[in-house]
Amino acid sequence: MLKIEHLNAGYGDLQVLWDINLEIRSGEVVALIGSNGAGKSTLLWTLSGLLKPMSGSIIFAGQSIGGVSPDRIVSLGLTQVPQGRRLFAGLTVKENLLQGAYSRSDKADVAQDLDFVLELFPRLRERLNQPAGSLSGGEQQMCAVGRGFMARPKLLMLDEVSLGLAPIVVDAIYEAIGKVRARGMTVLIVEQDVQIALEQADRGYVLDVGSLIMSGAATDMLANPKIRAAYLGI
Amino acid sequence: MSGILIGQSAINVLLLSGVLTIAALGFSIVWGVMNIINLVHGAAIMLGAYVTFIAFTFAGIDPFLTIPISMVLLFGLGYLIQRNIINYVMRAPMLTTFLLTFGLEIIIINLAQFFFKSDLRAITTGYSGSSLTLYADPAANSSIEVPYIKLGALIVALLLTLLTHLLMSRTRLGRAIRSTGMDKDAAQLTGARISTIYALTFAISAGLAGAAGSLIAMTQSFQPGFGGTYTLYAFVIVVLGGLGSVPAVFLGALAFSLITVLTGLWQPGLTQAAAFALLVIMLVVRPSGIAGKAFYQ
Repeated sequence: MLKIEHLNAGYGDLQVLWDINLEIRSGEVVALIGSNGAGKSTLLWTLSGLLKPMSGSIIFAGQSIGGVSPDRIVSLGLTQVPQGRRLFAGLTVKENLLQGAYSRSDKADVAQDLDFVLELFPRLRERLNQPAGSLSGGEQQMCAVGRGFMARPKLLMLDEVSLGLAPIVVDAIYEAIGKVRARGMTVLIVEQDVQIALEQADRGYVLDVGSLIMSGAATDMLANPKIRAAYLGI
Repeated sequence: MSGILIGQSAINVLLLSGVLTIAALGFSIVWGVMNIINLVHGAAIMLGAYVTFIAFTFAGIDPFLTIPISMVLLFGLGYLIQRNIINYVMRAPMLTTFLLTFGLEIIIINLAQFFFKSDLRAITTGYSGSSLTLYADPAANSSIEVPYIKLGALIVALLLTLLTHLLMSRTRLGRAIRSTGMDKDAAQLTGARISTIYALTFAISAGLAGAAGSLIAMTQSFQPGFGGTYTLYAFVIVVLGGLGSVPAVFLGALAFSLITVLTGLWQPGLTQAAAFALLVIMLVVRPSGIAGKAFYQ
Protein backbone atom coordinates (compact mmCIF):
# COMPACT_ATOMS: atom_id res chain seq x y z
CA MET A 1 0.00 0.00 0.00
CA LEU A 2 2.80 2.39 0.95
CA LYS A 3 6.38 1.96 -0.15
CA ILE A 4 9.09 4.44 0.75
CA GLU A 5 12.51 4.05 -0.84
CA HIS A 6 15.70 5.99 -0.12
CA LEU A 7 13.76 8.97 1.14
CA ASN A 8 15.67 12.06 2.24
CA ALA A 9 13.65 14.95 3.61
CA GLY A 10 13.76 17.96 5.92
CA TYR A 11 13.07 21.66 6.24
CA GLY A 12 14.80 23.90 3.72
CA ASP A 13 18.50 23.07 3.92
CA LEU A 14 18.12 21.18 7.17
CA GLN A 15 17.97 17.48 6.39
CA VAL A 16 16.10 15.52 9.05
CA LEU A 17 15.44 12.14 7.43
CA TRP A 18 18.22 10.04 5.92
CA ASP A 19 17.67 7.21 3.45
CA ILE A 20 14.34 5.97 4.81
CA ASN A 21 13.06 2.63 3.47
CA LEU A 22 9.71 1.56 4.79
CA GLU A 23 6.81 -0.54 3.61
CA ILE A 24 3.25 -0.88 4.81
CA ARG A 25 1.06 -3.64 3.36
CA SER A 26 -2.68 -3.45 3.00
CA GLY A 27 -4.55 -4.28 6.21
CA GLU A 28 -1.51 -4.01 8.45
CA VAL A 29 -1.04 -1.97 11.58
CA VAL A 30 2.51 -0.69 11.64
CA ALA A 31 4.17 1.14 14.50
CA LEU A 32 6.83 3.77 13.99
CA ILE A 33 8.60 4.41 17.24
CA GLY A 34 11.35 6.75 18.23
CA SER A 35 12.19 9.35 20.83
CA ASN A 36 11.41 13.03 20.68
CA GLY A 37 13.15 14.69 17.73
CA ALA A 38 13.85 11.45 15.85
CA GLY A 39 12.02 12.76 12.77
CA LYS A 40 8.71 10.92 13.07
CA SER A 41 6.51 13.94 12.47
CA THR A 42 8.80 15.13 9.67
CA LEU A 43 8.20 11.81 7.93
CA LEU A 44 4.43 12.13 8.32
CA TRP A 45 4.49 15.75 7.15
CA THR A 46 6.42 14.61 4.06
CA LEU A 47 4.02 11.75 3.38
CA SER A 48 1.06 14.16 3.59
CA GLY A 49 2.68 16.49 1.08
CA LEU A 50 3.25 19.40 3.45
CA LEU A 51 7.00 18.95 2.95
CA LYS A 52 8.62 18.15 -0.37
CA PRO A 53 11.11 15.25 -0.28
CA MET A 54 14.71 16.12 -1.14
CA SER A 55 15.11 12.80 -2.94
CA GLY A 56 13.80 9.26 -2.96
CA SER A 57 10.43 7.82 -3.84
CA ILE A 58 7.11 7.48 -2.05
CA ILE A 59 4.62 5.15 -3.73
CA PHE A 60 1.10 5.07 -2.32
CA ALA A 61 -1.61 2.85 -3.79
CA GLY A 62 0.45 2.48 -6.96
CA GLN A 63 1.08 6.20 -7.44
CA SER A 64 4.13 8.31 -6.77
CA ILE A 65 3.14 10.95 -4.20
CA GLY A 66 6.49 12.57 -3.43
CA GLY A 67 5.95 16.33 -3.77
CA VAL A 68 2.26 15.93 -4.71
CA SER A 69 -0.08 18.53 -3.18
CA PRO A 70 -1.68 17.64 0.19
CA ASP A 71 -5.26 17.76 -1.11
CA ARG A 72 -4.50 15.18 -3.82
CA ILE A 73 -2.82 12.91 -1.32
CA VAL A 74 -5.91 13.03 0.91
CA SER A 75 -8.08 12.26 -2.14
CA LEU A 76 -5.92 9.23 -2.89
CA GLY A 77 -6.72 7.88 0.59
CA LEU A 78 -3.82 8.90 2.80
CA THR A 79 -4.80 10.91 5.88
CA GLN A 80 -3.07 11.80 9.10
CA VAL A 81 -4.19 12.77 12.56
CA PRO A 82 -1.50 15.35 13.30
CA GLN A 83 0.43 15.67 16.51
CA GLY A 84 -1.14 18.16 18.92
CA ARG A 85 -4.62 17.42 17.45
CA ARG A 86 -4.76 20.66 15.44
CA LEU A 87 -8.54 20.91 15.72
CA PHE A 88 -10.36 23.93 14.33
CA ALA A 89 -10.98 25.42 17.77
CA GLY A 90 -13.78 27.78 16.79
CA LEU A 91 -15.69 25.19 14.78
CA THR A 92 -18.12 22.86 16.52
CA VAL A 93 -17.30 19.19 17.01
CA LYS A 94 -19.71 18.34 14.20
CA GLU A 95 -18.11 20.87 11.85
CA ASN A 96 -14.67 19.49 12.65
CA LEU A 97 -15.81 15.97 11.87
CA LEU A 98 -17.51 17.03 8.64
CA GLN A 99 -14.44 18.99 7.60
CA GLY A 100 -12.58 15.70 7.93
CA ALA A 101 -14.74 14.42 5.08
CA TYR A 102 -14.04 17.51 2.95
CA SER A 103 -12.42 15.56 0.14
CA ARG A 104 -15.38 13.16 -0.20
CA SER A 105 -18.41 13.62 -2.40
CA ASP A 106 -20.44 10.60 -1.22
CA LYS A 107 -22.88 12.49 0.99
CA ALA A 108 -24.94 9.57 2.21
CA ASP A 109 -21.86 7.59 3.26
CA VAL A 110 -20.44 10.64 5.04
CA ALA A 111 -23.61 10.84 7.15
CA GLN A 112 -23.24 7.14 7.96
CA ASP A 113 -19.59 7.56 8.89
CA LEU A 114 -20.48 10.47 11.15
CA ASP A 115 -22.86 8.15 12.98
CA PHE A 116 -20.14 5.51 13.14
CA VAL A 117 -17.65 7.95 14.68
CA LEU A 118 -20.21 9.12 17.22
CA GLU A 119 -20.84 5.49 18.20
CA LEU A 120 -17.11 4.98 18.62
CA PHE A 121 -16.88 8.10 20.78
CA PRO A 122 -20.23 8.68 22.53
CA ARG A 123 -18.67 11.59 24.42
CA LEU A 124 -18.48 13.49 21.13
CA ARG A 125 -22.19 13.05 20.54
CA GLU A 126 -22.88 14.91 23.79
CA ARG A 127 -20.62 17.75 22.68
CA LEU A 128 -21.64 17.78 19.03
CA ASN A 129 -22.57 21.46 18.83
CA GLN A 130 -19.91 22.83 21.16
CA PRO A 131 -16.78 24.55 19.86
CA ALA A 132 -13.96 22.01 19.68
CA GLY A 133 -11.77 24.40 21.66
CA SER A 134 -14.02 23.99 24.70
CA LEU A 135 -13.48 20.21 24.97
CA SER A 136 -11.17 18.46 27.44
CA GLY A 137 -7.85 17.15 26.14
CA GLY A 138 -9.12 13.60 25.82
CA GLU A 139 -12.29 14.66 24.03
CA GLN A 140 -10.23 16.80 21.67
CA GLN A 141 -8.06 13.82 20.79
CA MET A 142 -11.19 11.73 20.15
CA CYS A 143 -12.44 14.49 17.88
CA ALA A 144 -9.10 14.64 16.04
CA VAL A 145 -9.04 10.87 15.54
CA GLY A 146 -12.69 10.97 14.49
CA ARG A 147 -11.91 13.72 11.98
CA GLY A 148 -9.23 11.43 10.54
CA PHE A 149 -11.71 8.55 10.26
CA MET A 150 -14.18 10.82 8.46
CA ALA A 151 -11.88 10.99 5.44
CA ARG A 152 -12.36 7.21 5.22
CA PRO A 153 -8.72 6.79 4.24
CA LYS A 154 -7.08 3.64 2.96
CA LEU A 155 -4.17 4.41 5.24
CA LEU A 156 -4.58 6.42 8.43
CA MET A 157 -1.48 7.80 10.12
CA LEU A 158 -1.78 8.67 13.80
CA ASP A 159 0.84 10.98 15.25
CA GLU A 160 1.28 10.70 19.02
CA VAL A 161 -2.39 10.24 19.85
CA SER A 162 -1.59 9.04 23.39
CA LEU A 163 0.54 12.04 24.30
CA GLY A 164 -0.53 13.65 27.56
CA LEU A 165 -3.72 11.64 27.94
CA ALA A 166 -5.02 9.57 30.85
CA PRO A 167 -4.61 5.79 30.32
CA ILE A 168 -8.37 5.25 30.24
CA VAL A 169 -8.70 7.74 27.36
CA VAL A 170 -5.79 6.15 25.51
CA ASP A 171 -7.53 2.77 25.85
CA ALA A 172 -10.77 4.19 24.47
CA ILE A 173 -8.98 5.70 21.48
CA TYR A 174 -7.02 2.56 20.67
CA GLU A 175 -10.17 0.47 21.05
CA ALA A 176 -11.75 2.68 18.41
CA ILE A 177 -8.70 2.31 16.19
CA GLY A 178 -9.08 -1.47 16.53
CA LYS A 179 -12.64 -1.18 15.27
CA VAL A 180 -11.72 0.80 12.16
CA ARG A 181 -8.98 -1.69 11.50
CA ALA A 182 -11.63 -4.39 11.47
CA ARG A 183 -13.31 -2.41 8.68
CA GLY A 184 -10.19 -2.78 6.56
CA MET A 185 -8.36 0.43 7.27
CA THR A 186 -4.58 0.21 7.26
CA VAL A 187 -2.99 2.09 10.15
CA LEU A 188 0.39 3.64 10.87
CA ILE A 189 0.84 4.38 14.57
CA VAL A 190 3.55 6.88 15.40
CA GLU A 191 4.32 6.93 19.09
CA GLN A 192 6.90 7.77 21.68
CA ASP A 193 5.13 5.31 23.95
CA VAL A 194 6.72 2.13 22.65
CA GLN A 195 4.70 -0.24 24.80
CA ILE A 196 1.34 1.08 23.55
CA ALA A 197 2.43 1.20 19.93
CA LEU A 198 3.91 -2.27 19.72
CA GLU A 199 1.00 -3.87 21.58
CA GLN A 200 -1.32 -2.59 18.85
CA ALA A 201 0.86 -3.25 15.84
CA ASP A 202 1.73 -6.19 13.62
CA ARG A 203 5.14 -4.81 12.76
CA GLY A 204 7.32 -1.98 13.91
CA TYR A 205 10.11 0.32 12.80
CA VAL A 206 12.48 2.25 15.02
CA LEU A 207 13.51 5.72 13.91
CA ASP A 208 16.58 7.21 15.56
CA VAL A 209 18.11 10.60 14.69
CA GLY A 210 16.56 10.54 11.23
CA SER A 211 17.41 6.97 10.25
CA LEU A 212 15.52 3.72 10.54
CA ILE A 213 17.71 1.51 12.70
CA MET A 214 15.51 -1.52 13.27
CA SER A 215 12.37 -3.21 12.05
CA GLY A 216 10.53 -6.44 12.65
CA ALA A 217 7.44 -8.16 14.00
CA ALA A 218 5.94 -6.23 16.90
CA THR A 219 6.07 -9.19 19.29
CA ASP A 220 9.76 -9.76 18.56
CA MET A 221 10.50 -6.09 19.08
CA LEU A 222 8.69 -6.01 22.40
CA ALA A 223 10.89 -8.93 23.50
CA ASN A 224 14.07 -7.41 22.08
CA PRO A 225 16.44 -6.56 24.95
CA LYS A 226 17.88 -3.54 23.12
CA ILE A 227 14.46 -1.98 22.69
CA ARG A 228 13.48 -2.87 26.22
CA ALA A 229 16.60 -1.14 27.50
CA ALA A 230 16.50 1.90 25.22
CA TYR A 231 12.78 2.70 25.13
CA LEU A 232 11.07 0.85 27.92
CA GLY A 233 13.68 1.36 30.59
CA ILE A 234 13.55 -2.27 31.61
CA MET B 1 -33.55 67.79 20.30
CA SER B 2 -36.94 67.30 18.75
CA GLY B 3 -38.55 63.93 18.30
CA ILE B 4 -38.41 64.30 14.54
CA LEU B 5 -34.68 64.99 14.60
CA ILE B 6 -34.08 61.93 16.80
CA GLY B 7 -36.24 59.79 14.53
CA GLN B 8 -34.56 61.01 11.38
CA SER B 9 -31.12 60.46 12.92
CA ALA B 10 -32.02 56.90 13.92
CA ILE B 11 -33.17 56.22 10.35
CA ASN B 12 -29.96 57.75 9.00
CA VAL B 13 -27.83 55.53 11.27
CA LEU B 14 -29.63 52.45 10.00
CA LEU B 15 -29.39 53.47 6.34
CA LEU B 16 -25.68 54.26 6.64
CA SER B 17 -24.81 51.10 8.57
CA GLY B 18 -26.34 48.85 5.91
CA VAL B 19 -24.10 50.09 3.12
CA LEU B 20 -21.07 50.28 5.42
CA THR B 21 -21.58 46.65 6.48
CA ILE B 22 -21.32 45.55 2.87
CA ALA B 23 -18.32 47.84 2.33
CA ALA B 24 -16.49 46.33 5.33
CA LEU B 25 -17.62 42.70 5.14
CA GLY B 26 -15.16 41.50 2.51
CA PHE B 27 -12.33 43.45 4.12
CA SER B 28 -13.06 41.69 7.41
CA ILE B 29 -13.23 38.21 5.88
CA VAL B 30 -9.90 38.57 4.05
CA TRP B 31 -8.25 39.97 7.16
CA GLY B 32 -9.67 37.27 9.42
CA VAL B 33 -9.08 34.29 7.15
CA MET B 34 -5.96 35.24 5.20
CA ASN B 35 -4.33 37.66 7.64
CA ILE B 36 -4.09 40.30 4.94
CA ILE B 37 -4.94 43.96 5.45
CA ASN B 38 -6.24 44.37 1.95
CA LEU B 39 -5.72 47.90 0.68
CA VAL B 40 -7.08 46.98 -2.77
CA HIS B 41 -10.49 46.74 -1.14
CA GLY B 42 -11.36 50.39 -1.71
CA ALA B 43 -10.30 50.13 -5.35
CA ALA B 44 -12.67 47.18 -5.78
CA ILE B 45 -15.47 49.30 -4.31
CA MET B 46 -14.57 52.07 -6.76
CA LEU B 47 -14.66 49.64 -9.72
CA GLY B 48 -18.10 48.44 -8.59
CA ALA B 49 -19.29 52.05 -8.65
CA TYR B 50 -18.01 52.51 -12.21
CA VAL B 51 -19.64 49.27 -13.36
CA THR B 52 -22.96 50.68 -12.17
CA PHE B 53 -22.25 54.11 -13.66
CA ILE B 54 -21.32 52.69 -17.06
CA ALA B 55 -24.18 50.18 -17.21
CA PHE B 56 -26.66 52.88 -16.20
CA THR B 57 -25.31 55.67 -18.39
CA PHE B 58 -24.59 53.74 -21.57
CA ALA B 59 -27.00 50.80 -21.41
CA GLY B 60 -29.76 52.38 -19.35
CA ILE B 61 -29.81 49.52 -16.83
CA ASP B 62 -31.44 50.33 -13.50
CA PRO B 63 -28.65 50.75 -10.90
CA PHE B 64 -30.14 48.08 -8.63
CA LEU B 65 -30.00 45.58 -11.51
CA THR B 66 -26.31 46.36 -12.02
CA ILE B 67 -25.42 44.98 -8.58
CA PRO B 68 -25.13 41.35 -9.77
CA ILE B 69 -22.99 42.52 -12.70
CA SER B 70 -20.62 44.34 -10.34
CA MET B 71 -20.48 41.34 -8.05
CA VAL B 72 -19.70 38.84 -10.78
CA LEU B 73 -17.05 41.03 -12.45
CA LEU B 74 -15.33 41.89 -9.18
CA PHE B 75 -15.56 38.27 -8.00
CA GLY B 76 -13.65 37.27 -11.13
CA LEU B 77 -11.11 40.05 -10.77
CA GLY B 78 -10.58 39.21 -7.09
CA TYR B 79 -10.04 35.54 -7.94
CA LEU B 80 -7.45 36.42 -10.57
CA ILE B 81 -5.60 38.89 -8.33
CA GLN B 82 -5.32 36.37 -5.49
CA ARG B 83 -4.47 33.41 -7.70
CA ASN B 84 -1.89 35.15 -9.86
CA ILE B 85 -0.38 37.80 -7.62
CA ILE B 86 -0.98 37.69 -3.87
CA ASN B 87 -0.79 33.88 -3.72
CA TYR B 88 2.95 34.09 -4.36
CA VAL B 89 3.59 36.04 -1.18
CA MET B 90 1.10 34.35 1.17
CA ARG B 91 3.94 32.96 3.30
CA ALA B 92 5.60 36.37 3.62
CA PRO B 93 5.01 38.57 6.68
CA MET B 94 1.92 40.78 6.86
CA LEU B 95 3.91 43.88 5.86
CA THR B 96 4.69 42.33 2.46
CA THR B 97 1.05 41.68 1.55
CA PHE B 98 0.18 45.09 3.00
CA LEU B 99 2.62 46.85 0.68
CA LEU B 100 1.67 44.63 -2.25
CA THR B 101 -2.02 45.49 -1.95
CA PHE B 102 -1.05 49.15 -1.50
CA GLY B 103 0.81 49.02 -4.82
CA LEU B 104 -2.07 47.23 -6.53
CA GLU B 105 -4.51 49.84 -5.27
CA ILE B 106 -2.46 52.66 -6.78
CA ILE B 107 -2.18 50.82 -10.11
CA ILE B 108 -5.94 50.22 -10.28
CA ILE B 109 -6.81 53.80 -9.31
CA ASN B 110 -4.35 55.18 -11.85
CA LEU B 111 -5.79 52.96 -14.59
CA ALA B 112 -9.28 54.09 -13.60
CA GLN B 113 -8.20 57.73 -13.84
CA PHE B 114 -6.80 57.02 -17.28
CA PHE B 115 -9.87 55.25 -18.64
CA PHE B 116 -12.71 56.89 -16.71
CA LYS B 117 -11.10 60.37 -16.27
CA SER B 118 -11.09 62.15 -12.93
CA ASP B 119 -14.45 63.88 -13.44
CA LEU B 120 -17.00 63.59 -10.66
CA ARG B 121 -19.69 61.11 -11.67
CA ALA B 122 -23.19 60.67 -10.34
CA ILE B 123 -26.23 58.59 -11.12
CA THR B 124 -29.65 60.18 -11.21
CA THR B 125 -32.61 57.88 -11.71
CA GLY B 126 -36.28 58.75 -12.03
CA TYR B 127 -36.79 57.91 -8.36
CA SER B 128 -33.61 59.54 -7.04
CA GLY B 129 -35.33 62.53 -5.50
CA SER B 130 -38.36 60.85 -4.00
CA SER B 131 -38.69 59.49 -0.53
CA LEU B 132 -41.03 57.73 1.82
CA THR B 133 -42.45 60.01 4.50
CA LEU B 134 -42.64 58.07 7.73
CA TYR B 135 -43.96 60.89 9.85
CA ALA B 136 -44.82 64.52 9.15
CA ASP B 137 -45.50 67.42 11.46
CA PRO B 138 -47.16 70.16 9.37
CA ALA B 139 -47.08 72.65 12.26
CA ALA B 140 -43.28 72.53 12.47
CA ASN B 141 -42.99 71.95 8.71
CA SER B 142 -40.69 68.97 9.27
CA SER B 143 -40.86 65.24 8.70
CA ILE B 144 -38.99 61.95 8.90
CA GLU B 145 -38.01 60.92 5.39
CA VAL B 146 -36.52 57.73 3.96
CA PRO B 147 -35.23 58.23 0.43
CA TYR B 148 -36.39 55.27 -1.69
CA ILE B 149 -32.94 54.73 -3.12
CA LYS B 150 -31.38 54.48 0.34
CA LEU B 151 -34.18 52.22 1.53
CA GLY B 152 -33.53 49.94 -1.43
CA ALA B 153 -29.81 50.01 -0.71
CA LEU B 154 -30.47 49.06 2.91
CA ILE B 155 -32.64 46.12 1.91
CA VAL B 156 -30.03 44.88 -0.58
CA ALA B 157 -27.28 45.35 2.01
CA LEU B 158 -29.14 43.41 4.70
CA LEU B 159 -29.96 40.64 2.25
CA LEU B 160 -26.32 40.31 1.14
CA THR B 161 -25.14 40.37 4.75
CA LEU B 162 -27.53 37.55 5.60
CA LEU B 163 -26.47 35.55 2.54
CA THR B 164 -22.79 36.01 3.37
CA HIS B 165 -23.46 34.88 6.93
CA LEU B 166 -25.24 31.76 5.67
CA LEU B 167 -22.45 31.09 3.16
CA MET B 168 -19.81 31.27 5.88
CA SER B 169 -21.70 29.38 8.58
CA ARG B 170 -23.79 26.81 6.73
CA THR B 171 -22.03 25.73 3.57
CA ARG B 172 -19.19 23.34 2.85
CA LEU B 173 -17.15 26.15 1.28
CA GLY B 174 -17.75 28.44 4.26
CA ARG B 175 -16.63 25.73 6.65
CA ALA B 176 -13.48 25.13 4.61
CA ILE B 177 -12.77 28.88 4.57
CA ARG B 178 -13.16 29.13 8.34
CA SER B 179 -11.04 25.98 8.86
CA THR B 180 -8.30 27.43 6.69
CA GLY B 181 -8.41 30.71 8.63
CA MET B 182 -8.02 28.84 11.92
CA ASP B 183 -5.30 26.35 10.96
CA LYS B 184 -4.00 26.33 7.41
CA ASP B 185 -1.94 23.13 7.75
CA ALA B 186 -4.71 21.20 9.46
CA ALA B 187 -7.11 22.32 6.72
CA GLN B 188 -4.70 20.95 4.12
CA LEU B 189 -4.63 17.65 5.99
CA THR B 190 -8.41 17.44 5.54
CA GLY B 191 -7.96 17.81 1.80
CA ALA B 192 -8.61 21.52 1.33
CA ARG B 193 -6.60 23.07 -1.50
CA ILE B 194 -5.40 26.23 0.17
CA SER B 195 -4.62 28.27 -2.95
CA THR B 196 -8.19 27.69 -4.20
CA ILE B 197 -9.72 28.47 -0.80
CA TYR B 198 -7.75 31.72 -0.61
CA ALA B 199 -8.66 32.68 -4.17
CA LEU B 200 -12.36 32.07 -3.47
CA THR B 201 -12.18 33.97 -0.17
CA PHE B 202 -10.58 36.94 -1.92
CA ALA B 203 -13.10 36.68 -4.75
CA ILE B 204 -16.06 36.69 -2.34
CA SER B 205 -14.56 39.72 -0.64
CA ALA B 206 -14.10 41.56 -3.94
CA GLY B 207 -17.62 40.60 -5.05
CA LEU B 208 -19.03 42.15 -1.87
CA ALA B 209 -16.89 45.24 -2.49
CA GLY B 210 -18.39 45.42 -5.97
CA ALA B 211 -21.89 45.38 -4.50
CA ALA B 212 -20.88 48.09 -2.03
CA GLY B 213 -19.56 50.19 -4.91
CA SER B 214 -22.84 49.86 -6.79
CA LEU B 215 -24.82 50.90 -3.72
CA ILE B 216 -22.54 53.86 -3.00
CA ALA B 217 -22.68 55.00 -6.64
CA MET B 218 -26.45 55.48 -6.28
CA THR B 219 -26.18 57.79 -3.31
CA GLN B 220 -23.12 59.97 -3.79
CA SER B 221 -20.99 61.45 -6.54
CA PHE B 222 -17.59 59.87 -7.00
CA GLN B 223 -14.28 59.86 -8.88
CA PRO B 224 -11.57 57.18 -9.14
CA GLY B 225 -9.93 58.02 -5.82
CA PHE B 226 -12.99 57.70 -3.60
CA GLY B 227 -12.47 54.08 -2.56
CA GLY B 228 -9.57 54.76 -0.21
CA THR B 229 -11.90 56.43 2.27
CA TYR B 230 -13.97 53.26 2.39
CA THR B 231 -10.88 51.13 3.05
CA LEU B 232 -10.29 53.34 6.08
CA TYR B 233 -13.95 53.07 7.14
CA ALA B 234 -13.75 49.30 6.75
CA PHE B 235 -10.64 49.25 8.92
CA VAL B 236 -12.35 51.22 11.70
CA ILE B 237 -15.51 49.10 11.45
CA VAL B 238 -13.57 45.85 11.72
CA VAL B 239 -11.62 47.10 14.73
CA LEU B 240 -14.87 48.31 16.35
CA GLY B 241 -16.80 45.13 15.77
CA GLY B 242 -13.98 42.66 16.12
CA LEU B 243 -12.54 40.25 13.60
CA GLY B 244 -14.92 37.51 14.58
CA SER B 245 -17.81 37.06 12.24
CA VAL B 246 -20.38 38.57 9.90
CA PRO B 247 -22.58 39.82 12.78
CA ALA B 248 -19.48 41.49 14.30
CA VAL B 249 -19.06 43.53 11.11
CA PHE B 250 -22.70 44.63 11.31
CA LEU B 251 -22.21 45.69 14.95
CA GLY B 252 -19.08 47.61 14.00
CA ALA B 253 -20.85 49.35 11.13
CA LEU B 254 -23.74 50.26 13.42
CA ALA B 255 -21.37 51.78 16.00
CA PHE B 256 -19.46 53.63 13.29
CA SER B 257 -22.67 55.03 11.76
CA LEU B 258 -23.95 56.10 15.16
CA ILE B 259 -20.79 58.07 15.88
CA THR B 260 -20.77 59.60 12.39
CA VAL B 261 -24.42 60.68 12.50
CA LEU B 262 -24.25 62.01 16.07
CA THR B 263 -21.08 63.97 15.40
CA GLY B 264 -22.62 65.23 12.18
CA LEU B 265 -25.55 66.70 14.11
CA TRP B 266 -23.23 68.53 16.42
CA GLN B 267 -20.23 69.44 14.26
CA PRO B 268 -20.32 68.11 10.67
CA GLY B 269 -16.66 68.96 10.11
CA LEU B 270 -15.49 66.56 12.80
CA THR B 271 -17.14 63.27 11.82
CA GLN B 272 -13.91 61.62 10.64
CA ALA B 273 -11.96 62.81 13.66
CA ALA B 274 -14.63 61.34 15.92
CA ALA B 275 -14.70 58.03 14.08
CA PHE B 276 -10.96 57.64 14.22
CA ALA B 277 -10.79 58.79 17.84
CA LEU B 278 -13.11 55.88 18.51
CA LEU B 279 -10.70 53.61 16.65
CA VAL B 280 -7.80 54.77 18.82
CA ILE B 281 -9.79 54.36 22.04
CA MET B 282 -10.99 50.93 20.95
CA LEU B 283 -7.49 49.70 20.14
CA VAL B 284 -6.26 50.78 23.56
CA VAL B 285 -9.23 49.66 25.65
CA ARG B 286 -10.61 46.59 23.86
CA PRO B 287 -8.49 45.55 20.89
CA SER B 288 -10.62 42.47 20.24
CA GLY B 289 -13.61 44.64 19.30
CA ILE B 290 -17.20 44.75 20.55
CA ALA B 291 -17.99 41.16 19.59
CA GLY B 292 -14.45 40.17 20.45
CA LYS B 293 -13.24 37.09 18.63
CA ALA B 294 -9.71 36.43 17.49
CA PHE B 295 -10.54 34.71 14.22
CA TYR B 296 -13.31 34.01 11.78
CA GLN B 297 -16.06 31.79 13.13
